[in-house]
Amino acid sequence: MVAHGIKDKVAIIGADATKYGELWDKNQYDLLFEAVQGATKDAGISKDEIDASWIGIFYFFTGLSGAMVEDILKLDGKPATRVENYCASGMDAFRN
Amino acid sequence: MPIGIKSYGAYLPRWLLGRELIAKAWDFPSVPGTKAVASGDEDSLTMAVEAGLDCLVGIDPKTVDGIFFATTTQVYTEKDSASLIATVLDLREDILTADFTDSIKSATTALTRAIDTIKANKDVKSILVVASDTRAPEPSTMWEYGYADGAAALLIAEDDNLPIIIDDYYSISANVTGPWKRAEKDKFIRTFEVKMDNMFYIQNITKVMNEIMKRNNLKAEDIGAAAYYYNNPRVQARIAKMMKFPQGVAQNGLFFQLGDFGTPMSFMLLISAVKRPKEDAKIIMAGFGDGADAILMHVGDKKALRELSKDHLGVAGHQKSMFPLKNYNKFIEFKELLEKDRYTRKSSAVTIWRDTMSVYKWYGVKCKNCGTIQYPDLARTCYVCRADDQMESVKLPLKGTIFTFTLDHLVGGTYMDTPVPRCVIDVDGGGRVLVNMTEIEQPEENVRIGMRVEFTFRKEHEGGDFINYYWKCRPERGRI
Repeated sequence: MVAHGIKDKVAIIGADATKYGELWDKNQYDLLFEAVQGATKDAGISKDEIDASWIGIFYFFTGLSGAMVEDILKLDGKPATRVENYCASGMDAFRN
Repeated sequence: MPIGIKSYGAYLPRWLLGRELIAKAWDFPSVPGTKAVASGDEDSLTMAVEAGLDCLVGIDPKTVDGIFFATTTQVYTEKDSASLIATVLDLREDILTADFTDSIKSATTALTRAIDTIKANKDVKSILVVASDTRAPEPSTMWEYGYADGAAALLIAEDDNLPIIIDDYYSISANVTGPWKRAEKDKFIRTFEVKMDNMFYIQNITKVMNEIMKRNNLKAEDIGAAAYYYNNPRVQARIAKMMKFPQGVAQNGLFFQLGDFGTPMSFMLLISAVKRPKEDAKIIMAGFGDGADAILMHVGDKKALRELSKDHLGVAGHQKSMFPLKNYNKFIEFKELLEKDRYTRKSSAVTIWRDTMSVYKWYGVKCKNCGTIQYPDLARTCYVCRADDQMESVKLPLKGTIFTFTLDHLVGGTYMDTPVPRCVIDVDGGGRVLVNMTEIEQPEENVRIGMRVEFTFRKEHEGGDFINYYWKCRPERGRI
């Protein structure tokens, strides 16, 4: 496995989760924005210091791309990857 | 302070159907003239929005205290239209809204209720009364020659310097099984005997006009304009004769070229009449349908009235930008009288509620940091300076210029014509939006970068089994 190959080289420096519930007044973009804002604050970095992004989305239609992250956060030109693996999309985005 | 008409507006759809095309379709004797036909993406609600926009030119929608909507062609039988029209016209939340329906006199009835409400309630200074109808005639009947689509709006207000002052109104109620349409049973309007309907109509409309003149000690020669509903020019002339109105007083200008609009007809006749008002003469407007209403008015501030006809498209202004339909089949298609399997998209009532500001009210956001206007209003990060949470809401104008476009030949849904132009529009004053274009013939030749367009509120699709409305663009018609 590759996991040992990144030992002591990769770290989680910030994390955040939005409120859970029936958030009728928010869409997926609002939630993405909130979580990223929370995570960057947690890490003590600015949005501009993000070099690349991975996003896990599972939605009942396809055709969304990783560029969704860039569209929301305006991270123009930074590499973005979208991962989908049913309910494990989030975990797989992280693993990727 | 007097109560009267502060502003008016109308809406006529883009298309004119020649009556000779109807005659040709069914091998009927030819009838002269044309009638107004709405596009397939229009209904009584979208046309009411258009008439409301025309009426509110130069008036802050936040100053209007209510909307009364009159129609016989409701888009829902449970769920009102006035509240959605008020939302799209960007009125306040603390207003009065009501639908008046089931009779073609509901326009004049709504108007009389508006007068009473303004009189009785000190917090209500103005009510927008909008009438709209899009009645589908039964194919291969004489109704096809008449029934037309359109809308009209009058802003009733208590104010100084009103262009038209309302003096009195009088109503009668009368029941007859005239034209009818059973709820959830009849697809088309039915009638037992047209001659009996006519007799009843003539009795009611002459009675209500005679009574209001009597109450106000007026003779026929005191009346400068009479705008009473009619659906048959011969009967209209007969009533003018019975009422002894002098030549040119009875308004008969609509039917020949535009048809019988139903509910908004009396408003439209009035709007046409006051374009060239006779000084100091009284004006009568009358609506008919299971009884009748008559409203007596006179010209108030002449300068204000002249301004109205300059700033509002009204009836005549819209007539200038109407096109003939090429064939009868288009009309059948627009009215969805042709059985067709239609592709239904997905939709969400939650999304529409959440995005009301951008989807219905047509607001974008402006970055407080760099001043860039962007749409939709959901963005929390600025596209230009990338600042977070610096957005303030701004109302977008309803005009713009095509920045770029593509022609979609593979479109699904209820589109009548392909290709559908998908246009990226630079909105006047800032903001860039992606919308479809409607009412464009031969888009391959006619859609161009740099073309000026107006935004218009239309039916987009019926995903989720409810009506999904959104803005489209159309070639300019001159709405201010």
